[in-house]
Amino acid sequence: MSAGRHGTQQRYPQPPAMYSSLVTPVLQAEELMQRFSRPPGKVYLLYGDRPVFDLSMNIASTVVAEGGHVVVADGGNRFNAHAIIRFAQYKGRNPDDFLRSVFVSRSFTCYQMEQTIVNRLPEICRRQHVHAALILGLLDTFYDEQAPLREVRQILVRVLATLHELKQTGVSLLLACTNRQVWPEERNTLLATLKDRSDRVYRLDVRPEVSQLILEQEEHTIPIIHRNGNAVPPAKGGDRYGTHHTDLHEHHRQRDRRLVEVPAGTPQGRPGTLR
Amino acid sequence: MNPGTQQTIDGYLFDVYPAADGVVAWLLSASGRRYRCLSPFTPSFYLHLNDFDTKRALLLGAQCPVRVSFNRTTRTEIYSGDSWDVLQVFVHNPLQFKQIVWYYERFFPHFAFFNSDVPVPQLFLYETGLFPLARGEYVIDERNHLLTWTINDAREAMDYSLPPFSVMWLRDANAFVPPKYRKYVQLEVSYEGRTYALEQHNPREVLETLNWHLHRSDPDILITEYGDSTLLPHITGLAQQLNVPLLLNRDPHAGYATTRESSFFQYGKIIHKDGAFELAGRWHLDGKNSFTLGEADLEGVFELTRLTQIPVQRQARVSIGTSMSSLQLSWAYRNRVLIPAKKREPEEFKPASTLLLADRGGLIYNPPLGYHEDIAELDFVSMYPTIMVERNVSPETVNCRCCRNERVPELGYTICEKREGVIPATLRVVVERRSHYKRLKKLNRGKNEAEFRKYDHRQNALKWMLVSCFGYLGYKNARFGKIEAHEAVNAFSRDAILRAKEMAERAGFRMLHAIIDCVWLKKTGATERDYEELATEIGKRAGIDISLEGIYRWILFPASKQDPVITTANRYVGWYRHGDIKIRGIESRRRDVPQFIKIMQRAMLDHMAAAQNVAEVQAMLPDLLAIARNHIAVLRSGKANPMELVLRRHITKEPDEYENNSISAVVSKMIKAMGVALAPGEMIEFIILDQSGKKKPEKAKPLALYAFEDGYDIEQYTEFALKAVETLLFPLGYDVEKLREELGAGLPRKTSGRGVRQGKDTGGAPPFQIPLFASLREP
Repeated sequence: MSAGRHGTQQRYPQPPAMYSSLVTPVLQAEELMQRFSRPPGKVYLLYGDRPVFDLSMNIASTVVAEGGHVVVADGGNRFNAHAIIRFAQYKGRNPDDFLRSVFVSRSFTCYQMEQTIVNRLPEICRRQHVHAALILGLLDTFYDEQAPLREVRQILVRVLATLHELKQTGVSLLLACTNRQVWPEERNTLLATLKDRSDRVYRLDVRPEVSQLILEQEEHTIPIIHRNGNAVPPAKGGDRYGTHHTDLHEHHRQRDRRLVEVPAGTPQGRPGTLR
Repeated sequence: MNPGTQQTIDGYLFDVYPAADGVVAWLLSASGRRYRCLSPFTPSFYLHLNDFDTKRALLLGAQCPVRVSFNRTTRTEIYSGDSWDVLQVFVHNPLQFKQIVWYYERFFPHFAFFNSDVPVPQLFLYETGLFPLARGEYVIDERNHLLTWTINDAREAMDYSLPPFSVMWLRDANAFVPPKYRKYVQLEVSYEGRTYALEQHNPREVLETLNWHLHRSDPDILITEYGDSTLLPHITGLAQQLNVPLLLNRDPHAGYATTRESSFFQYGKIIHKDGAFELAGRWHLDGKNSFTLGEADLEGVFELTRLTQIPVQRQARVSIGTSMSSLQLSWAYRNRVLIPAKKREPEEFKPASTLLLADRGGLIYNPPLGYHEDIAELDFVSMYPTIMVERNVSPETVNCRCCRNERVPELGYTICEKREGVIPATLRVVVERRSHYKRLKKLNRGKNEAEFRKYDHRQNALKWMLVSCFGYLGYKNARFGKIEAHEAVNAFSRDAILRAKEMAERAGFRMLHAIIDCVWLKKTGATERDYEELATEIGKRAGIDISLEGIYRWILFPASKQDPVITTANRYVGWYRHGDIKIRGIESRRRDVPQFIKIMQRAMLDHMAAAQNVAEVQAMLPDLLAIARNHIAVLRSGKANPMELVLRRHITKEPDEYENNSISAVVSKMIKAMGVALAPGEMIEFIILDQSGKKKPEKAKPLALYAFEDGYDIEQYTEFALKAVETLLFPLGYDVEKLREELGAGLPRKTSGRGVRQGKDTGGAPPFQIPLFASLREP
């Protein structure tokens, strides 16, 4: 995959350079923007240096400028309302209208991020008839050492499953992430997982003269896999957890043991009379 | 005791820690005896699962490495207020509680777990309603099993008694630098008013002498300096090598409870925390690893431990946030509310226009530059805690499902009218207690010094809880926190201070400065009574008490370091009419400024205490310049005491991770070369030798390596001094350059060197000292 294969090399409409850390024009951005704002829904991954967030703000502003609404799930405190205001001013439009068309929720832990995406995002998209969602710094909260990697991996699976379900309803999702090495090193595999599970992957290559979006991967998606080998079934009810449904039964069958149900017990009596 | 007999102990609950078949509880009788008893206890956690997974959880119980039992029950989910069916999992070995939670975490996602990460001693105290230092009658049997108790005390009691504790201090006699930086430590113990140096020539003898002192005094509390990080780990390590059993623990069956040191981010800064070294049956408190002990002494620790139900040794080491969290967890137990294992309540989706409005802090109104006179300061009393308590601001009450009242100014958020939130319910007690102790402190001022200090320590311990409670509401890991609640408190505070401003201006006062919960007002000819009347009116309208802190004879709002024509909100200094000084943000108050500079600036301020107004301050200018000149002359002569030139910085990364050649990098690498491990967030102490690095490539020396002949960078320290003088004299027309000329500090001087050597040759065999870096071998 190389730059320039898709779309024409147009200069993406940018606010004046002094308002943005993305000081150079971005080639190929138009192509991503056009795809993102139109059906069918897809999961796009945009990664690279920090200006990916500036570019994401510009893409969100463009969607709003065309009359759409955008939902933003912000995982790294990357949302910049002022960038949207400046974009509206640059376009000669009312910034308040722009701001009212963007719905934001910030998360500071991966647990909050999961709750936002799995339980809140589908609902707001449905309620506000939104077809474009931005997820900023999804992995930032996943890199937190306080969250065990095992849990983080499980959360990522559930989050990605939700994103693909949302995609089926016609919502386009743009995941903006920075490309950075983190410690412990095993957490660097999270970005690789994200790339594998995205429909189209773009890398932002920032250069002094001209920046460029490079399409790294197109239109192939590895289905989300359960541990028992099945693709993720559509959500039933509210419970989407339990990734080890069959483990225990298989274990017992293999070892030819009878399953024993443990009777509910009562706690030991506690001494003490309090006055 | 004969079989079948029981004994009632009138005493205090001293210590609680888990054992294989319950928890060990230590009692201190009123007559001074100590009892070790066992209380049977089965800790439990909850799983919220669907029917299928509930069956799995039951089946998994059979595979569990420890006996578990189950109970289906219902508990309340805090945000919705709904009753949830949950599976209660009892773990029959409290020592294995965490392992069983981990076992289940392999099979179920994090959001299925509740009450699963609370330490066992706290679970015991929450469930039984007991609390550390609870006075009562405890009944034990002949096997020392705690059978029952009657508490003649209350957790909320403000007038309570304490047992007569015996205390021993253990420290390094050479307290010049922390023991971590020394090759040897010279231990000394103090108790019953005497200090004993452990100067034996053999390590085994040192340990045996320590044991003898422990046996002799049998202290309830062992207070150390750097005991957590250095002293106790090395003493126990040495004891292990030499096979000398130590009497540090009072419980001979228990081990030491230790945790690792850690570095973490807090408010954008990296913080380092030493590990803990806790004893069984005896409290070990490290004065250098306990914020509460440092701020509020033992009295403050006891106040918090009773209130939060966290055992003393843990309470002394935990953050204020953890203390507050414990209050909330205890409330949750009493109200059968589930405690989520992980905070996961995210921010509600809101339009970016609302976010822009909501994501703001308290109101700040920058003051005019320079000296001012007859300014009054009015402070809202515990503004943020009062807002949370009085307005019922809590994660589950802000934007609740049941009410629609748009109570929060500007933002229109709703606040529940049907239930009191967990934050107000727990914070109310703290607000009331502090107010009570402040009253008692005031009553005892000048009459009973011991009582005055006691109540001062208690109120001080609670003060930090009130200071932190608002920030904790928005903290990402707060168990019960929500960003909208945090925003609501700020919105209420902005509203209150704007009301105060409007009322003051209507009454003819001019507002010079405002910062979140304080306003600085001026009205020509206004008396103290006028300000007090205004305060009463504002308090009534805003719903928060506001008090007159005092009227300044003069107050200085210095220029910003970045821009000399503007001020900063949190830097000011002034003398009140009632004779007190208030200093905020300037050099005298900062921790990163050398002591010498602080002493110089404070001398100038003390001289200014006599000035009744700005004109008198101006008239003092020659005296002030003379004070500065004298200090700077000492500095430039090279005769300043180097110990007063020590600078302190927190390193932000490990020494090897520094890629630049900054002073922190240079010093931390030198410390590492000494064999001392430094973690991010740890403090380093050093003296600058040559800031530029041109004459001396090492730039600075760590205090532990410093010798007087190393000298110090005169130009750099002169620069620090000139800046401190400029802070006070800039409004009178003196900037650094003019001061340099005026004070004769313009000529560059060479780095000084002093030929003073420390230490002396004592001759003969030195007393044995415990090696910290070298191998621990018996000579």
